[in-house]
Amino acid sequence: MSKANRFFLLIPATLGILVFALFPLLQIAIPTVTSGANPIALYSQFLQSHYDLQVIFRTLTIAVITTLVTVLLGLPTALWISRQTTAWRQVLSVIILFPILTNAVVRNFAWIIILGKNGVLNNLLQGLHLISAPLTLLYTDSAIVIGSVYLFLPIMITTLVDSANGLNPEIEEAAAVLGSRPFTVLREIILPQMAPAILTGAILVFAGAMTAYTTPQLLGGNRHLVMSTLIYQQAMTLGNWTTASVVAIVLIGLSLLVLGLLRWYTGRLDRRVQHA
Amino acid sequence: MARLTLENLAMTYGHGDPVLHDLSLAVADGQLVSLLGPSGSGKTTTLRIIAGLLQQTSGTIKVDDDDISRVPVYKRGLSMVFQSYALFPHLTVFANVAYGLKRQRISKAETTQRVTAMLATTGLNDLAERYPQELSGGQQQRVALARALVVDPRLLLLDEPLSNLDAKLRVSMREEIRRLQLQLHTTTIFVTHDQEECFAISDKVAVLNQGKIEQYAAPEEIYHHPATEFVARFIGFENFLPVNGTVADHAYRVGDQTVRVNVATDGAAKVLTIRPNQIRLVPEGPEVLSGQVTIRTYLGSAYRYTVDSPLGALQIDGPTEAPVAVGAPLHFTLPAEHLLPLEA
Repeated sequence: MSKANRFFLLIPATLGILVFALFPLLQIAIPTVTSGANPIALYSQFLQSHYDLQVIFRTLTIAVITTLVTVLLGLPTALWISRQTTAWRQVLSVIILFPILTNAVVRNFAWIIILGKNGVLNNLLQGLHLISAPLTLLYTDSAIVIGSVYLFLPIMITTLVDSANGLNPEIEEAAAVLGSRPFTVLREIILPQMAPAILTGAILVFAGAMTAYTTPQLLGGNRHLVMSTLIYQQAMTLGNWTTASVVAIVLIGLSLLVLGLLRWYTGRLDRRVQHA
Repeated sequence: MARLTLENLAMTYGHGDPVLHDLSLAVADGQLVSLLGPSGSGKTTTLRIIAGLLQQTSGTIKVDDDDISRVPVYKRGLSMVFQSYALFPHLTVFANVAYGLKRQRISKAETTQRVTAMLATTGLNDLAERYPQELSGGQQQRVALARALVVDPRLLLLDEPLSNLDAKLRVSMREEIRRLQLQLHTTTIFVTHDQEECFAISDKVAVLNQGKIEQYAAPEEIYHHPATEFVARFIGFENFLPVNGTVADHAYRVGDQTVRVNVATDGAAKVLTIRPNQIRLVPEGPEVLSGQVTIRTYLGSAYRYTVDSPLGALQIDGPTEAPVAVGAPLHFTLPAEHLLPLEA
């Protein structure tokens, strides 16, 4: 195929990316430079506001904790699933994916019912006389983390199960024969082999948790805003499109920064597994 | 560098049929012994039980006089080379080979010295900093061998280590394994289903069938004097003539024919066996058997004929210079010195 032909074949994909990805992005960015105000002032104002910094910090904290918790819960689950029989493994995979098939609003309402003042959990704890007054669980940062973990755990598990299925059990046996106890095999042999998948899962979950809207909206309420809910409030409630755009651009920038770091680290790991 | 003794090993998975029955085997210090058998014969199961990767249902495993039957795999001090090589993909060749020494808390200086020496012995010096995926199959095999030998194991266990290599490399690698094994004087158990491979490098061969040892002897003994019909079939005997009774001191009745043998007649003999290339083609004459060729296969060094004879269907090899057509008669005798009576 000649160079010119190859160039023509690239046109549809390029147009697709321009229309569906870059154009909307520019649409977001443009108001921050055409609003009449000095764009640099707009951004520095935002980044100097104590309240806004708190929102940024909360967003990052929730995304980081969600990512860590999904890794900690997902890893043993994935290893367990990968060691079941093929038929049982398929059943488990469907069960794991079930939350994703449920509507986001319905899913979060379930958590409202569980975590509310008169919710399932408080009633249970009170019934067992473990607490005397109901705990404030709903509309907290923790509630957002719980909801996000529930939302993203299937993605983490699915990513890790794929990787765990690909592990060669003889490699673990080789380590055992050479004198490694089971926990050492996990730490020195299994985890390093799964590291690229753990990072991929982390990238997916972190990106999702940074930008999720429904979960923080329903479980965090108005006093625990994250960047996505702040954007909505600015744009739809206050009609302040410029600020909304500033927050959006900062959110995109932060996400890209963290994902870039994770990607760079994955790339370093990939050197060892590139031909695997 | 030790003796290995297996006593009455038995293994049953769950509620299924037993895969090992009462298996006993003694391996002398510094010997290379092969476990030869078809898939499902229990050879890999036996190896994994010795390694401690499987727990036997009953029976004893001893290395020298240590009973290791209940010792966990990570404390047995053995080494194993796997069919897939099972190199650690996230570690360099050097770190792969050093892994077992690290577990034994050997000092860094000694580790470096021993790994370097082992890499030199196995011809891997230039590859020390590579990762396993960057190596060819033969090189990976060497790394697996180096990793197993550097720890100075009491026993070296090899699980079909050559089956993933191409034919030419297989021959050179098996010679290399034998060279290293003799040089280091490591007692070695070699599992294979390839008769030629195991005859080439073993001191002794145990032929396994359905979880039992059919014969345990030197390769030459097994080749010339298979103990059972199963062993004979496995090592290339093609003709099995059912014995109807004895005729004289050195003759058996097969069908309505009398077949002479060189050994004293034994009432227990059930079949006579002979290799296709041991049947002699002769001109027509008295005492000569005849049959019609039904199939002719070209083997390169010979033609193999399937012949419909008074003794039943026989496999007979003939020279390539004088091919006999399908449908034509073939005249032959069964040399008494090559006929082997078998009891089972």
